[in-house]
Amino acid sequence: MPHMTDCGLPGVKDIPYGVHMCNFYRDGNELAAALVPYFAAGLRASERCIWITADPLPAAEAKARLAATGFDVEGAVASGALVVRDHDDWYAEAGALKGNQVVDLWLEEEQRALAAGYAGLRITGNVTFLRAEEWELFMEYESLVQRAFHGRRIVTLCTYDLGRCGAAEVLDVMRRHSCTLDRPDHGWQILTPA
Amino acid sequence: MPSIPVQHASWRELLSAPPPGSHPLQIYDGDAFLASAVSHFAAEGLRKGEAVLLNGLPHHTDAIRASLEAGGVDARAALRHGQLTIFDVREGLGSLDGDGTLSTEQLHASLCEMTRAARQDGRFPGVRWWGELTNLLYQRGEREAAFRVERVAGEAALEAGTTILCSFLGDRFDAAAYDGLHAMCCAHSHVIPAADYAANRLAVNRAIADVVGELRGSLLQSLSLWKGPACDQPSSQAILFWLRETLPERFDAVLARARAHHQLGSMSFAP
Repeated sequence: MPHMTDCGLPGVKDIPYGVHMCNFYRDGNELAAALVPYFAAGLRASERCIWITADPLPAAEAKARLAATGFDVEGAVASGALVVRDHDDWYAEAGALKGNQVVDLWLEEEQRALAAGYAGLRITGNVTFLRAEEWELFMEYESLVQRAFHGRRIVTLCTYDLGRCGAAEVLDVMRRHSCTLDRPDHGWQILTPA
Repeated sequence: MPSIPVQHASWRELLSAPPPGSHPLQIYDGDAFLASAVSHFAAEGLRKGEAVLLNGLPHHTDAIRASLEAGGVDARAALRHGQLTIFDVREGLGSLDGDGTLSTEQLHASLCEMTRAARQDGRFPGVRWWGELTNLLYQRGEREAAFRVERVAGEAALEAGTTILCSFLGDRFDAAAYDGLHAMCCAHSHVIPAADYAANRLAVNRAIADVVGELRGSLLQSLSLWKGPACDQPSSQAILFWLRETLPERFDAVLARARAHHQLGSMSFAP
């Protein structure tokens, strides 16, 4: 199986499986501009795609935006290739878990996807639900993900609302991801640490 | 993939269980924070049965001892049993040669020997040091000697598997202090920049938002490529070092705003 896959974002080359990326967005349109092509590429690459949504792009709108690109979203959901769930639903099941248990849950999901014949697992999580007092704990979780997903057939894009992140939080997030996806003007670029 | 820097969440957490061989730096702007942090470091060591050596100015060691006793630690008994030892840092200046240069070999040997002695043939499983020799040298203008002491102390900490906590008087909102602060941070394993991490983060974030705005595009790219000091330090401090290198023309303004936000925050939390 190839070790690289299509990121989906125009201007960004193929990305390796195991990559743990982050993106900072200003609003729902910017968020959709990153996630819709990201998941479209995942579906084209026969990956199982799991989209955990939250405001400003809830599940119904996420599906509608993806469908607008010409994908048979309902068909993909019915076949199990695509899972789109609001964070509140997902959190009801996974919210009580500790960071390493959530990581284990993702690793099990990867194994199920591979066993079902998918090329890998593509996931995203938008963390607008985070409260300030939960930040440190969530950063620990991001560190665990960064370590655990390395070398796995998982592609991850974590999205952060720039309006809720100060400069120190931006650095916190960048330190715990393989790279940052940014769209300063019209084109996407991938920012990798030195 | 890059290695993930381990970051301590709070200075209390770090000083409760510092990694063996670590060499943390506390940047303090008032004696109360110095006494609070060092007494926490010492108390946790004493509770774990470790030997604790305090090497400071008498008014500092008196305040630390008072803070230990206020926290329920029987410092007198610890001193009597040899678990706690207190030195006057001014006596350590005797390890400077007559011409004012430091005998690094002598200092290294002295640190290692004192650590061995402090263990008392295994009676104490670990040793914690706190010192402000560097601070004293730096405040006297002997900066080269101060950094030499830090190098030796860092090597000795690693070699002896002990923890050496240093306190350094510095104003983190003063741009003129940053040459020294940066060099000091580079000479240590961990940096404790402030007593209240959350308030410090808020002040720094607000100041950067006011003066610089959003971190996007070329700024985000620069941050991604930036290699700062390798020490473990909160992002709220690291981002200031990055800013100093990346936008030096706005650094003073950011620090001034951060100081104002910090003072305002302190006032609003006052009873």
